[in-house]
Amino acid sequence: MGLAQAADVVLWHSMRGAEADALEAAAHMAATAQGDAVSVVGIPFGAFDTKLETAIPHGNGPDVFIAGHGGLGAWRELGLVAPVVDLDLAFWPVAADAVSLDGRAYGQPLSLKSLVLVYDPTQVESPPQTLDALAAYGDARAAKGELAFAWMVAEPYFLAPYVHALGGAFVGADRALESDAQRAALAIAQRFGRHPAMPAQPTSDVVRNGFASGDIPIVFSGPWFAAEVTRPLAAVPLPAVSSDLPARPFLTVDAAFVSAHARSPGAAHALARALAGVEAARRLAEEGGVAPARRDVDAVAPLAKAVVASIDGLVPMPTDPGLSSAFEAHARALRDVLRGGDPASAAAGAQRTFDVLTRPIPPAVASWPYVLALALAAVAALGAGFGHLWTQRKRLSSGDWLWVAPGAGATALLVGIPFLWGASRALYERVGDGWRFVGLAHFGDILLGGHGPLWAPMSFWYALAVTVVWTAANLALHVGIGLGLAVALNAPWIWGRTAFRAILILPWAVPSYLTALVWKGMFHSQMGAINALLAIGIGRDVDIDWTGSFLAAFTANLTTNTWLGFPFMMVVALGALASVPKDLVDAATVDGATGWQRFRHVVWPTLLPAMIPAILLGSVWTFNAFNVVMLVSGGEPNGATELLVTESWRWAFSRGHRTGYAAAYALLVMVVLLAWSRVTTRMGAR
Amino acid sequence: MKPVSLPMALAVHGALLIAAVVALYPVAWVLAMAVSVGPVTGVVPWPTEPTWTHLAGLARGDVAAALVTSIVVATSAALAGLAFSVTAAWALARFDFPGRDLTLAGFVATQTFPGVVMAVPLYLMLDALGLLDRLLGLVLVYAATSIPFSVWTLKGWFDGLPKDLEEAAMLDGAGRFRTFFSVLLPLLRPALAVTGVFCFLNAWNEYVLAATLLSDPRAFTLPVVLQRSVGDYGADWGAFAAGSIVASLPVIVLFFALQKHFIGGLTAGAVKG
Amino acid sequence: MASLSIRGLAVRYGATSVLDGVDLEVADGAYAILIGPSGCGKSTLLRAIAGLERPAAGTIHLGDRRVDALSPQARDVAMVFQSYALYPHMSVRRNLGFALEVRGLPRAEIDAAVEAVADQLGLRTLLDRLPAALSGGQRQRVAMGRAIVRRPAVFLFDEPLSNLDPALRADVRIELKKLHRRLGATFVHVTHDPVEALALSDQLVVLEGGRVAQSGPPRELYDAPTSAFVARFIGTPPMNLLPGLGDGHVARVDGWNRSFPTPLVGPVWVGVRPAECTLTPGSWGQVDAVEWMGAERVVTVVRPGFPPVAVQLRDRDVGIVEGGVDLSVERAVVLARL
Repeated sequence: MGLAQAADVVLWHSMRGAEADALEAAAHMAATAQGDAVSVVGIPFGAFDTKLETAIPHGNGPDVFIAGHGGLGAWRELGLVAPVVDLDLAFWPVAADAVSLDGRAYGQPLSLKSLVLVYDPTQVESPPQTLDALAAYGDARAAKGELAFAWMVAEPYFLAPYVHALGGAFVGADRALESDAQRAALAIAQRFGRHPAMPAQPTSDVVRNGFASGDIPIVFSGPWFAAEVTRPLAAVPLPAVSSDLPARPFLTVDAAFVSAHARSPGAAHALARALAGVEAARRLAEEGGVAPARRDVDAVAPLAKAVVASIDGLVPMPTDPGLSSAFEAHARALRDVLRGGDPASAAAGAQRTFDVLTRPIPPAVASWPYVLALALAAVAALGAGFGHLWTQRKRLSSGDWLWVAPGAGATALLVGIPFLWGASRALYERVGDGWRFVGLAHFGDILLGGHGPLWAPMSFWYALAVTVVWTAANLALHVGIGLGLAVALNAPWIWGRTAFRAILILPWAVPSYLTALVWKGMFHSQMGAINALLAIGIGRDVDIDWTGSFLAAFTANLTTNTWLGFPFMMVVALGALASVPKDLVDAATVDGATGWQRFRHVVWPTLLPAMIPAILLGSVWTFNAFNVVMLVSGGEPNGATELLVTESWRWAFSRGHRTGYAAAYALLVMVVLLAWSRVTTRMGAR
Repeated sequence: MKPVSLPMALAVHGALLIAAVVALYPVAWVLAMAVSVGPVTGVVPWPTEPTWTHLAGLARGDVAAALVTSIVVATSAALAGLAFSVTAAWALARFDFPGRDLTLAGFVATQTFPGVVMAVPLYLMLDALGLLDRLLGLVLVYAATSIPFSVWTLKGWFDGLPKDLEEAAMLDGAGRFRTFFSVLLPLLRPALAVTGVFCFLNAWNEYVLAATLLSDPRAFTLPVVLQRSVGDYGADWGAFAAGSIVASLPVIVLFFALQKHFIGGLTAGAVKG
Repeated sequence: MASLSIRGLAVRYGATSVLDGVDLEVADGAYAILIGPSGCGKSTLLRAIAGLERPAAGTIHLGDRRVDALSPQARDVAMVFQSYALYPHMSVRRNLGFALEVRGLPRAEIDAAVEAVADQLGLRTLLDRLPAALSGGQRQRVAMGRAIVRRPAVFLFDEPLSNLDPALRADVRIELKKLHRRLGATFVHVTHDPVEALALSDQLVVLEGGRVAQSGPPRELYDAPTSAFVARFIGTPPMNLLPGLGDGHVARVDGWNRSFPTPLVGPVWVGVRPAECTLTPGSWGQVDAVEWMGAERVVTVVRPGFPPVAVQLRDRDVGIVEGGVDLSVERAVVLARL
């Protein structure tokens, strides 16, 4: 078909760097060979899944997309992917297995990704082959006061090789998270996570930087690590638990999937096939440094070779949508043991959390009583509205409405209707590619704590309390600092006003996603600037774990958000200060008012009306401040700093796509905020 | 003018200086990251292994195109948002018509719904309107999402404006349009500047909706292009930082261009002096 | 030019009634002043005439045109606001010409009109300034000029002098009077200052609680107030109101041998202007205080059971006043005591 008629195939991917460049080149090569054209679109990784899920069913998606195979279970359930009929036999069986469900293949494997042991060949001659050897190497380095290895053991993905080695699993088995293998693996995590030769809180930045600087000669990482450092590196399979128990890391297969809604399926399949073909695979291996999924193409990059060397032990990442819930639960257990907790009780806790996160979707209920109630409510509301108008005897003048209509109309269309659609989801739950009507079950579950204690992290009421404290603290700091700075900048005798003003709006100007991450880095317990500065300040070492306790994590979040938020209030206050009549201030001065009295009794009452909308909306945004909590504390410790909105997000995106449950959460957030806005407007009216 | 005491002046300048250092410190990290090969560590944000690669990488066509797209989108969204909201704000502040309180409450209500749940419905909405993947669609979405805030802010300013001026204009024979355009808009310049900057920034830094709604790489805005350097396995922070610097420059320029409006008196001379 | 005729005018804010059945006739070319204590509805009445308040009932006619349903633009009235309400972003020239600009008059015509008015008011040199750069008196004149330039049928003034210092106020008062004579238009002017009211008006309207208490030429209100309220409101110092008793033919005040004709029966007020009293040594009351005001003295006389009585004496005519006095009056009005 591709030969008969030229087609334009749209290809989506979320790769970056050399891998993306190699992919693009391979795609063009493959398409040209068939006489088709290809448009390669790089999508930000964070938006990739949502885009696939929304775009493909509406016919706006790609024809082919490149992604890790982990999402396959959900994609098939949503009907996004088309099966592959003629999978080449040259693929590694484990790769072919990974892209198959129920004996049917759904993607053309391109490359393999898994954890390997990366080491610095200039420092390490023979890399450790067992965990004991690794520990011994660490002990030797630690004795010299040096770091030896970095292993992001707080993440389930990084401990998984040993869970598997010991015969455990994350999903698929009954009570998988509290199996003996899990407990033993948690003990391993504890042993190495608290090893003196290991940096505290090894985030990917710490790992990368430690290796790049030569301080840490051994790291647990994957083929992608090659792009991050310029230092010479080598790799071997991960150390085994013992000679008969090799490490068995997760395998992610990046594959070319064909959309079930591809505009020209023939050309799409041909492109996917060509991308997985020998020629393209060789190109990806050579230019992109990836581990090829084909047996007939050799890995080139040292890290890729190590992946291929581990091939026999690799465990394909499960495509079960419950995996993310298992990881969330498991991550809690991990942090628990890393703080010194007992592995057995941590594992039991993880299993409990997992059970809560994956509790069954409420049963379907009849929808007609709701429809009836809704209709009655609508009639009553209309009646009340007209009654109100009648008693008020306001004149209906179309001229008045004309002025509001553009703004109200645009808002109603682009905010109101999507809102109603989103809100209506609260009565449903997603099941496969359809929706099940569950009535008010979600609300009952959320408000009455059907799944666990009413007052603990992950419960609505706990998150509400945290959110309220969070909002109040932020607002006080934003308004206090913003207003204080505005008043100071407004003083006629300030020197360097323009420079100050320019510098003070910078936190607002620089994209917050990045600066929030910079703050997260600064709050790192060992490498972060905050602890270092505190140490300089008080003259001795400081090693506050900024995600270790509620207070520390909350403070870190609060500091970041205050830094991000005060410029907005400052700018609003600067504008509002301009509207304070100078005579009034002068009059108060003449009346003998001190600076504070002038501010309190003259400036503030005049400012307030102009500030109220900013305060109201500022509080709404803070209430829903998603980025900061997700990026800085990540909800740590154990969900204690989660806000309502991050809880809602987790239900919508990382806990098995409970979109309906998330919508119910969002609606409750809205109710709380509406109540709050009434209070604020009253305040403003006074 | 009342003279200010020296300790007071020193204290205020000291506080401003501290605030400036705190504001700059993380930004300095971004700058250092933009010119470093690896991550920057320690207390002093100074580049390790300096490199120009990240900044040079910005010369790539897609960054420049995205910058232009973002400027067009954010400016149009700010202007459209202001146009929609300033009229509504005036009506809500001054006219007494049925449904007024309800409309006001409705504007606030739209802000309280977490955006997390909005991206997908918005996608469906724009798809239905045939505006998906079109910059016009994005402009309308940004304008609409900033309207509630703008309406509220501008209404606050209208509330603070003496009613006499509008009444004088009415008696001078000016209709509503004339009063609005000749008398009120010029008076509201500072408010429009502040609100406009807000609308602009709202659109400028937005990433989630842009990434969800746009699939055509030619239509990508700057945040979408920047976010591409964050992947599943690690991220290219140097490139991200370099791009962020580029993204911040127009904001700073805009603030400077409009800052005289922030300071200019709103109603000087309007009422008895 | 037009007369103003108001019948049964009512204005309400929600449940509160601000104007409650106002009837008022102002002749073409008259200078009417609305006066009353704060909250009496005088500003609301002015704003209703301008069209800035929507009446709940009643009619307003300008000449033979009924205007109460018309928008302010269509009424052909001009108003000088208490705050002046100058457009702060427009030069004096544009402020003056705005109303003509709005009507779409040709540029040249506007310029000519603006300059003519500027000459009349001495604003010629200020035409290109912004309001912020003007003194209070100059702003006041711009505000008046803005009204004059339109040649409206009716001029409305809302306390136009209240923001001026006393010296300037006297000057502007005279200017207003001359302006009225020159323009020959109908003026309606709100004030709370009785001196201003007597000095300027041909017709004085006293409002009380949203109704017209009395309306007529200022001398009539001064000489023959129809209620205690009006009596106390007009004139400085205010009229003395002494409690008396009426028998249906005359009224008497305790300790006085004079009687005043009245048809009223029962308690009455006997109103006496301070300037129409004289004092002779006697025993009716005691001198409590003497205030020297330059051309005159104001003597306060007290008698148990009576309010203090003010007596205005020409300073040069009398010697020392102290001790017991008798009060004799030239003239008095008898008013109902409720």
